[in-house]
Amino acid sequence: MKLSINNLCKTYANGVVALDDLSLDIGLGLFGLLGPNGAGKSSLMRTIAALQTADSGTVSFDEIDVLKQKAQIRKVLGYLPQEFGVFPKTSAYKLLDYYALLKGIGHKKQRKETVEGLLNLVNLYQDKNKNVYEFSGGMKQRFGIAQALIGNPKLIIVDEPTAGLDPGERVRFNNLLSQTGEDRIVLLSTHIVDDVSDLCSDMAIINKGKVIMKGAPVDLIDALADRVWEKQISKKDYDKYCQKYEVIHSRLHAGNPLIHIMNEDNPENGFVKITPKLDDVYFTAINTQNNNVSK
Amino acid sequence: MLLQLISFELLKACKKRANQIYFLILFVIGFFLVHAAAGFFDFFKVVLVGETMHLNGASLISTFLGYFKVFLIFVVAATVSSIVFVDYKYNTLSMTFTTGVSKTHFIFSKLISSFIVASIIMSGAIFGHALACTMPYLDASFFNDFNVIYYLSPFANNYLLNIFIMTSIFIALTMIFRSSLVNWVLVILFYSFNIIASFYFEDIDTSVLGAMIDPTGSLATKLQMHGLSAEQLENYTLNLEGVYLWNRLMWLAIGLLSLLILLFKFDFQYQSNFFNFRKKSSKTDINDKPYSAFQIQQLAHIKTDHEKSSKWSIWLSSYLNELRFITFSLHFVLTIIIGFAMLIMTSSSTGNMYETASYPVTFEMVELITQTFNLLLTVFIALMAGELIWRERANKCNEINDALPVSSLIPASSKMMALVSCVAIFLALFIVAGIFIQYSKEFYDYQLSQYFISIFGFEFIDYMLFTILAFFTHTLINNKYLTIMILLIYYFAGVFGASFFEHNLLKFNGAPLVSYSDLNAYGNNVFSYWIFKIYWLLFAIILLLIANLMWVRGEVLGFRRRVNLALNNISIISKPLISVMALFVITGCFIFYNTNILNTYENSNDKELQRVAYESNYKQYEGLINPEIMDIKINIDMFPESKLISGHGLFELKNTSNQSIETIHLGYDKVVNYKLVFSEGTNLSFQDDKLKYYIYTLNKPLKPNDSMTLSFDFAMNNTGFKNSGATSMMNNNGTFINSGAFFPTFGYNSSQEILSKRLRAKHNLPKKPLALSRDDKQGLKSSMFGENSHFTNIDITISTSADQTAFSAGNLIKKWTQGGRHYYHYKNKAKVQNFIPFISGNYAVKSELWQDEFNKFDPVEISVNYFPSHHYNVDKIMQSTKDSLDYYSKHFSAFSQDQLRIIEFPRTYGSFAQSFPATVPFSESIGFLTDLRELEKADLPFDEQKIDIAYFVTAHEVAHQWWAHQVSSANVEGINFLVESLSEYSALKVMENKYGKQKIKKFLRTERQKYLISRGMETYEERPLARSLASQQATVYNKGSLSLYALDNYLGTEVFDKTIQAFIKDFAYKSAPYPTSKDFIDLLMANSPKDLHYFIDDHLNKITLYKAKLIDAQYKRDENFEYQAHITVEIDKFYSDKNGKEVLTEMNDLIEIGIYNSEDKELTLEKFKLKTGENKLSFKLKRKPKYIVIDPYYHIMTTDFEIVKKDFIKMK
Repeated sequence: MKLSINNLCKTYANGVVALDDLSLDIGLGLFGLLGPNGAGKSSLMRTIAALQTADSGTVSFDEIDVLKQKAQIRKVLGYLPQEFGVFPKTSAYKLLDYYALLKGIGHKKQRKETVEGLLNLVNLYQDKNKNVYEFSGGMKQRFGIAQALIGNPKLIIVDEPTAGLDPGERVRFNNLLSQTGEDRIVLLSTHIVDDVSDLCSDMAIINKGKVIMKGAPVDLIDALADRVWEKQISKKDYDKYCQKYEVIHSRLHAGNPLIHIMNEDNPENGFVKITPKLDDVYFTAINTQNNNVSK
Repeated sequence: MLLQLISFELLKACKKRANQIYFLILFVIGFFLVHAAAGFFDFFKVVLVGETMHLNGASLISTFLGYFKVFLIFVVAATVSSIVFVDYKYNTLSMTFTTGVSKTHFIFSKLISSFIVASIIMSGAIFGHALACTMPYLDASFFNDFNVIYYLSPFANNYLLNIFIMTSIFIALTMIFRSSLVNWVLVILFYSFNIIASFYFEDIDTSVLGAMIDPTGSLATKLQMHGLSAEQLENYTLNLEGVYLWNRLMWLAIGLLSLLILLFKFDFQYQSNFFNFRKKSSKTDINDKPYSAFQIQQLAHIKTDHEKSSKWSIWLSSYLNELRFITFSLHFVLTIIIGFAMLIMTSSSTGNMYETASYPVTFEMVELITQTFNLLLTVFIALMAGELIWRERANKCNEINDALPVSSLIPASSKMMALVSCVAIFLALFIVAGIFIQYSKEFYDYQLSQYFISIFGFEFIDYMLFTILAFFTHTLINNKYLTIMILLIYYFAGVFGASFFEHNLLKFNGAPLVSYSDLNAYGNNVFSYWIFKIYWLLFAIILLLIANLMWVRGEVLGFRRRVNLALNNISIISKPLISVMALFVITGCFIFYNTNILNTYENSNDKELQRVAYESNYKQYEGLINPEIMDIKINIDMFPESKLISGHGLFELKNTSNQSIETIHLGYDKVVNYKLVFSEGTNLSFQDDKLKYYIYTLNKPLKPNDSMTLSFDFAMNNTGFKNSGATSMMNNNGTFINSGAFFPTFGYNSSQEILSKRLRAKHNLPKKPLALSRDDKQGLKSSMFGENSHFTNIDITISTSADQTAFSAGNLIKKWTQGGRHYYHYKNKAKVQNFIPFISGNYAVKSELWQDEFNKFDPVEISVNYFPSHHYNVDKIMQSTKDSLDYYSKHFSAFSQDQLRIIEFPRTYGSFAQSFPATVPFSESIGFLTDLRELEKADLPFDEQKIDIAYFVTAHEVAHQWWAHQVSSANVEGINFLVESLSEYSALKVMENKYGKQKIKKFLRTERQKYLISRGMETYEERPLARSLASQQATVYNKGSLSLYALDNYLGTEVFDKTIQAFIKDFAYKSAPYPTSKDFIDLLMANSPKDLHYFIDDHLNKITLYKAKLIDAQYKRDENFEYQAHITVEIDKFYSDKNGKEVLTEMNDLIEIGIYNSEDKELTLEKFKLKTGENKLSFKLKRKPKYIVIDPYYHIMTTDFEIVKKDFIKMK
């Protein structure tokens, strides 16, 4: 089972370049698609879900030419868009049942089994008679994944599913996702680095419509081993440090910047070597691309 | 701050494409309509102004802008939605609310900017109109000098004020309820209010109420302009006064009140807490188990199938889902509630004539229902189609749904079918409502199958096609408001009768008209109707297939890219598309073959050009001497089964002039196959088959007093169908045709000439008077029935099928059966004019013999031939015939024939009755079905009293046996005064004898109203009664009956009788020269006292108007317990000249004044000499007066909307 994306290009009517000659091969399991806002993640997801055309390039899922055989890809697809609503005044059970029918589970008994199973899976069984319209964000998102799982799809696309969820819900949702990765391709787009490192065996970082890094998170982190250093500095010194060192990223820690820099050797000056994490990989990749562009 | 907010909103609105398009659409329609009205297009003509009026006159601009008022509410809804609701939609309010903008600033910025935007959009029509008026290539006679006030006044009155009121209401409710649904509710409410208001307005008793509740105020302006002539209206600008002022104040108050509530109630909260219908949800999450015991792999065995079987269940499920959405929607519920409320209100006036309703028979109910609901249902469909198409996007579940493995055909078709089913549900409910109304009116003859066929066999098809059109347009345009606007324009264009294409092949949903008659069911057009509808249904399927290709799925693309995409995907639907298109083309060809090859198709422009050609080519022959028809012999066979008519005619011709006739000019109608044979040798020396003009040269000229014959065979063909429907004029039951359809005519026919001054100028035709003057020689030679009609003998043999009876003019002298067919032989007693009916139908008969009380006259056999279930008023019609014969033979002269028969005909021919010698065809919709059950009820208040229409119309038609068939009228100005006005007078006298003066009052009130309203709509120029044009019906009938009834009252019936008897003696059964109104008036003057000559002159030779006002009315009781009343009345008399100008005239006229008590009893009724200006009068009364009325019986013409009336006050 393989999803391959070749030389995909897409420019919107307003001139925004969403996908810029993007190519990617994705195999079984959970695949994380990481990138900043506006990187082209959603465009890519929608293109794979046959909701959007591309200007050029191909997408194929096994034997299916996604851009041409839209009906075919839809039969094996489960899709959870970034933002979605539901018809008001419809209970979770009824709505899921309706989607199950639309997804092609014509057999009544099987549909019942599917709907009840999925409601169990996403822990909404007790709330099955409540209107989805009135669900909380987390419940709604779980309903969303249940909907995407109907009919045992071979390809699942989830677009920024944990955005806006509280930490508890995020954990719950990620647990759900991790279950789904067997025997199918699950494409998870997010800008939350931890989601990817928690869940995915393979990943890509995209920015400005291009893939700028691809690989298993572990390998990518390994590549940075012994080169990332950390130091807490004061705010007024920040610019100085930026000029002197290759700052990967900084975040506030107790009100003062905690910066990570990349350096082959020990930079001294109070820096401490740390074990790199996926965010270091992510920011390095983004920075490198941005620098290349500006140069 | 406020200004900044407004300019921000305005800038945003200016950039909005939809706003630009709204403006442009209105601009283009305005521009285009002026062109069409000025006769710029040959293919598309509209008549907006009369001959003397201009397209940029005040009244026309006001009416013109009024046309666009139907879009006003919609433009306001769209604007408010884009300026106000958009904040809720995109959740930008939480940001705005925290910026420190004050509440008032916020609300007023929205209000003012919405007001400005809507006003600018609506001004499109004005700019379009104004620009078109400056176009140099348009016919200059249509335009006056530009006057900016004529634009500003209606713009302010019609638009600005209304936009402000509507915007206030819309903004207030939208912000309070925070729902776009409010918009639609208000739109539907607005349209229903309009309908309800006009309904009340129609009835004189409730006109003011109707004018008050009309939200746009246009009905109130009608009250203000009441009675003004068309010429006066040309320069008339509205004043804020009277009912109009009150209406505006009331609606302005409603608008301001809603704003006030908004200011008071509105607060910057994210969630509305005002009228929050939705229950607060408990958004607590009770499920916080991080892991589930259920494993996804447990579902691995379940397979999806996408086979056919599940496709149907998917479709059904989607369909039910959509249907549930519609039926639970507020639109649906509201439409039903409002619709039924309207139905119950309007049901009191089914088939109203003179404020007297007809029985609620099923076809009346069907008509009532469809008329009441038409607009409501159209708006519902247009809105709901948009709601359905945008449903997923509105609920933001479009991405999930679009990614599902279902074809776009499923959502598209299930949504459409759900809406179509919903329309069917509506219609079924209407049937139930119709039956309920019938039941509530104690009418139990429910025709269920007729309901079903009329509604589902015909009406439903139109709604279905409109639904498809709505879906197609919504999909194509992909902008909800813009689409609805376009659909409404399509609808209203149809309502206003505008269509570029006359051929039904080119007009969406076009088909011949089918209307129901109890006699003839759905008639002959059903077949052609269905062929056309099949053609359009096929077209609709093509639209659906295209809509399916253009269906928005996933990414929202621009129109051009969607078209490209659709073209790329066309292969998906190519198979069905090609086969449907093939069927469509085949049906189209079949129709074309029938309408244009088997039959001739002419559009109105062709017809106009033919009239021009006819006049230009043959006017030279006008005045040529033609032989006169002395004797007519006709054998005619009517075949209701095969819809054929054929026959043979023989004219006895005589040269009654003193010159020899060398050529015979002849023409005949276009629809018949003809074979002509002259008894003398002739050769056809000129032949124009297109205009049907033939010249035969006689081998030997026909010398004075010599005779010859012309025999002709004719057959009406019945091949295929025409654009207007069936070819045959023959009905299954109740055929009514007249000799004009197949009798040849001699000489040039001047009635073909175009009358319109502007059209004549356009076609370079010489100027022509609107009517010949009363001393025109040619005019006096021609009777009201045309140049070829003089008093002759007729001998008619008519046959029909065994189950029907056939009728013609004259006395039936023999009837027999031969070869399974019925034959009837008719002959005249007194001579008759050459205008003969041929009628065939299956009737129930009521016959009686009329004999006058002194056995002075020959008895008359009367029969009423009616459709068996229309028995309600047969006795009244019979009684009226007898009473009429009584009155007319006693007061006028003896009846001319031995028989008199009333024959009902299908209402599809129209709502009229017509009198032929001894034979009166009478429409089923005029009198036969009038509900007169409450006629005799004594205690009904004035506004609920009924008028016996059946009785009156019968008396009028019987009067024509004298006025037309004893004394004909010359074809000059005032032609119909001698025919129609005298018949109205005669019938009024018969009615007065039967029902008394009180009952006539209500009738006269309606006559006055009709005449006054007609003044403003005059096409040519208003003329005095004696010189009226044939087409000026309101003058001839309505003013005619008022004037002659007044004269009868002032001069005395004896004077009238004397005049009429002398008039009949002079002119009865006499051919040319025919009498004119002058002959009658001269006699009347001669018989009248000198001091009333002014009154005759005022009524018949002039247009006389009065303005009266009661300044004061007081009473006191004297010592004898009697009452003294003192009144002051101010009165002025005007003559209206040819140009509609009112000229004040000194008066010293007799005016009738009535005083009434609290029980509406007449205490006194007296005539007084009143002078111009103030007059003081005193009365002595036995009982206490309540109110005084100037001219209670409408003997003079006052122009006020209501009768001049004042309540007395007690003198101090």
